[in-house]
Amino acid sequence: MKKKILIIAIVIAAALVTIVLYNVFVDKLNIPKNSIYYWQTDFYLDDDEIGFLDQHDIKRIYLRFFDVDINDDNNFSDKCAPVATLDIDMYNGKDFSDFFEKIDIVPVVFITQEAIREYSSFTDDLAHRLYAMCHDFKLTINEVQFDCDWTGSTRDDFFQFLKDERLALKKYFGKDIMLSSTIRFHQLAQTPPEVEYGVLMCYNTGHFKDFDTKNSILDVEDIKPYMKYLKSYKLPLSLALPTYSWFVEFDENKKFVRLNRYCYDDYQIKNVEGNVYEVDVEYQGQETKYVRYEQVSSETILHAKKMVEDQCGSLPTVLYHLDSKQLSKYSEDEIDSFFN
Amino acid sequence: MKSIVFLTSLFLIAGCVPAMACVYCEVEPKAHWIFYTGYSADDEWQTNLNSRFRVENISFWHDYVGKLVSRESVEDALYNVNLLEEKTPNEFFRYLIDNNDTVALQYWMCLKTTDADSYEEQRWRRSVWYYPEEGYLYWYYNSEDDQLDFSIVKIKEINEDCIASCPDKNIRNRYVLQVLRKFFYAEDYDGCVRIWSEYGDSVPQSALRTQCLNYYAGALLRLGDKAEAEIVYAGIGYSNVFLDYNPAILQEIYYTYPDYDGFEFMVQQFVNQYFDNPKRSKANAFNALADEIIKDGKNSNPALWKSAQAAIAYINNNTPKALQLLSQAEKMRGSAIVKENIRMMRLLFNSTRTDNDSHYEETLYPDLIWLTENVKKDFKAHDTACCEWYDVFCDISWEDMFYSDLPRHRMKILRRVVFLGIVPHFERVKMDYKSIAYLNMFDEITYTDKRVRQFAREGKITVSNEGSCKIYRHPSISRGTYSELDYIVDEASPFREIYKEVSSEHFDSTTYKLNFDYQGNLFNSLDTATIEDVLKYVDLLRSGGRTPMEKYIVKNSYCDMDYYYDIIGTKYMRLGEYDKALSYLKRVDPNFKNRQNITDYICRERNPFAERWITKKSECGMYNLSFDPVVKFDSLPGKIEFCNIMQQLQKNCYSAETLEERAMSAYAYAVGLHQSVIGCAWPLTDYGRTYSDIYSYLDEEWLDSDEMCCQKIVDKFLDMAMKYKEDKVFTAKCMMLHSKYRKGLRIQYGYKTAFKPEIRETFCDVFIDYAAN
Repeated sequence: MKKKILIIAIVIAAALVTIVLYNVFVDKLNIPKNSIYYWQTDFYLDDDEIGFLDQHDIKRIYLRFFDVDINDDNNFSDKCAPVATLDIDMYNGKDFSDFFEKIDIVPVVFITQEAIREYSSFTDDLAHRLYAMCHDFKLTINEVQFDCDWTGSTRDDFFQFLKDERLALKKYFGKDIMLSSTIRFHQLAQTPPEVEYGVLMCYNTGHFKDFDTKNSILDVEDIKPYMKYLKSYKLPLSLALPTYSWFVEFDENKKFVRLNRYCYDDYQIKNVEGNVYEVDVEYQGQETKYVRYEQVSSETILHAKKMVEDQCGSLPTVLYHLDSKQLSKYSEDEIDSFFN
Repeated sequence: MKSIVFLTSLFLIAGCVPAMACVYCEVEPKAHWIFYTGYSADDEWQTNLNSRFRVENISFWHDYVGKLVSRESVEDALYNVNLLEEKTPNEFFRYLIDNNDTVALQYWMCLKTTDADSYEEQRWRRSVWYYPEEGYLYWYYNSEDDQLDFSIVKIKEINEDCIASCPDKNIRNRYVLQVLRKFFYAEDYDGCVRIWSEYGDSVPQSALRTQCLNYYAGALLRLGDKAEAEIVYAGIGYSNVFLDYNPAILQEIYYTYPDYDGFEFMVQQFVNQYFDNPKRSKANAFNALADEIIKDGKNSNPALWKSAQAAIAYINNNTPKALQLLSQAEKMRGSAIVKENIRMMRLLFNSTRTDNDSHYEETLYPDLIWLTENVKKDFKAHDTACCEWYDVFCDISWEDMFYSDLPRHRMKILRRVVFLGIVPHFERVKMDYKSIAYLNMFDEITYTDKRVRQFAREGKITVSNEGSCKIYRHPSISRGTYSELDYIVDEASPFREIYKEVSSEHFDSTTYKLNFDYQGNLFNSLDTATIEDVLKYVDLLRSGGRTPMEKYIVKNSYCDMDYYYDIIGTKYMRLGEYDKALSYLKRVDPNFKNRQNITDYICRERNPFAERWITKKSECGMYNLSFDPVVKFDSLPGKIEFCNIMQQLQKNCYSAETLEERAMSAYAYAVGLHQSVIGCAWPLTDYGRTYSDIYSYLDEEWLDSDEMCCQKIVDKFLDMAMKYKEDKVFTAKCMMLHSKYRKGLRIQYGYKTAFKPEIRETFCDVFIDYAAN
């Protein structure tokens, strides 16, 4: 009996500690419980999307500002360049300045592996550009997030970049800017980056270019091996869950052609097996023969969430990403369950 | 991305940038506006001001140094402030340095720093990381101009202190302009107003002051003080701004500048805005103001105000009152443009009257002739100028090439008169042939493509075939590659669809490039009119006209009878009236057909008697007749031979000796009629048009009427065929043809699959056998 009571007491204590730690982490870093990514090049929210934010009490948007890649514009000598810069439709449509005052915006910059090797060439420019964009969008920010699929070979570059960038941001913004970073599952095995917290990407877990992959967005089998690192991971985490879908196209030799977010209403498609279809589409001279439709069911999402939270307790949740068309594939209750 | 151009040094020439030009778009002329829209206030105003200021500025600095340096060196300095350096080669700067003129040097250094600072900011020139800042973006998103003068956006170093601390009053005034510019582009409009209120009085009348006032007015405008802004603009003679021209603003300006030149433009804008948004209170206020102005006698253009009252009455559907007011306006003093506008409005108002006046044309006659002659003059002046230096390349629109600068105001009025007044009038009184007559004249005078064709025929221009460019296919059928034609007439393609864009490399015929007979208002009206109206119209053309108006129209119309006979004959073919068709088609000169490059070429590719809807290798010999229509048509393809064959088949239906031959003749007749009207041989009875063209201007009823007619005849002959020959396969073929032109099914399933479900069930085995064989 005593033993039982002891076990229950330990469990309750552990739960309380988890809650307390979680709250401390959340309070200290001021991370809202519910957040969402916005990952398109034109910022425009329709009424449904604004309603979605209200309805689900979403207090923060991680807003992708631009990507950084190797510069291929011969007119400029820069080694790396910002690409796909966000454009906010302030001038021709809605004015979002009021909206930005009500919601917390965290700029996100995606950096390719090739570019991070050349980080020293753009650290200062990147900070200045972020400052200029925030100024232009009339945004007051306290945090910047960097998204990089760094590996063992680029880890040092990325970590050094974070150190330098922190200083550069301070120079332009005139204050300390908090840093966060996306964390991919394979990165859990490595030392965490020196940022205030990480966002664990519970998606892009498979190889989408591989024809035999069942679902590259999220397959719980893919993430299982990394669960063991979570308990001892020395960085507070939020959890990012996928609410998007896409089509992965392959040619007749089952070689990857492209990712496509558009459906095939105009084409005749024939189911081959599972989520793979046969279709005849030509795009820029490349013919697509097979299409794999990838979407993650709410059950799978919740399963993955539980797996992670079983290891490290309840985490702030970020959905990827804000797109009413994609989100409409989930019910309100399902969305709520992702956040709870 | 819009291209951005640096003109960093130019800004020193000094605030030569219009304060409003990038912010307010040009008023878009709308086709339905009734008050003149060809007139805009002085478009050259800003250019002229810049020019005056440039001269004034050079003279000022030249005088400032006692003309002891060359004028050119001053000009160089103004254009390139970077010449200001210790060992400058520039004579003007050298003089200032040598004479230790610190006041002037400080001003120039300030400009140089600003210039350098501005240049420094344009990091995008050197770095791909540059992100345009707010001021730039404002211009970027609001400018209609592709080329932005970036240098004007940021002027950092000059500030109010420069004005206050400058001991030289002339240089101080120059600081005033620069500070105004700085505040303006930094969107500190309150700052602009404050600066001008504080220092404006001391700036003497000059181009410099006008430049300053330009910024000041721009700032007022942005602060919402439209009336005050407009008064300032009026004071400096600038009126080409886009405001809400309400009567209150006009009144305020009138009280300050009763004889303001810009009223012509502003009243035009007011009337046209009123047209779009007629509010009684605005009309009342304007009428009261106009009455007051006319009564005061302080404005030298009272006809403007009276004619605007007329326009308002017209907009309010009171045409009699509008005409009465115009008569009053005509007798008043007025500028040339107002007087011309009064006459144009009278013509427009009269043309749109709906009282079925029996003297309708006589009423219009003098003003219409006057306007048409003026339009012709506009074109002629322009034609003469442009014909001298253009070669025509096939990939460029004639319109863009020749007529981009054409004064179009009068032409637009004529268009409104014809399309809004005359054509509806003759439709109303059931005299469509008259509408065709006016449309012909209008096209002949204003259809720029046809004019270019005429130049080519007269050898005034040459047509070049160089380059492998894309051209837009004219809706008329023309030579293409075999495969393209095959595609065009492919039964599986949507109804008579023609793809517009084809490769030009096969278009070696200048005739093709200059063939515009089968497009435009004239052709569209002929193509859609009843045959009776076309016949009446052709009679009018042949008679040369009976009244002065008709004579004038005929004189200015396209009168090639071959063209009309071909159209009439073709229309009869659509109705299955081959006797009448032949009587017209035989009159068409073969040279005309060759020149037009239509129909026959395609006819050679498609035999109307072949059963194209069933994919079989050959249908030759299938009719088992004393003559094979397929072979006969192939031997002499064209409209005339087709009509001859159809006549022969029709005769056979009633007089052939055997029932088999009668049945086959009836069936072949039905096939031929079907194929030539809505089947693959449609070019025999139609002139190519695009799918979208058809539905853009035709109503379904018209489309149906001919097809319904065709359908009834085809039904009749198919019934006859089935009556004479009882054979399962033959009946199946007849039924299949019968189902082919059921419009709903055709649209639903497409040609190849458009047979009725019940037929498919009944004759399924037959079709399977037939297709298998």
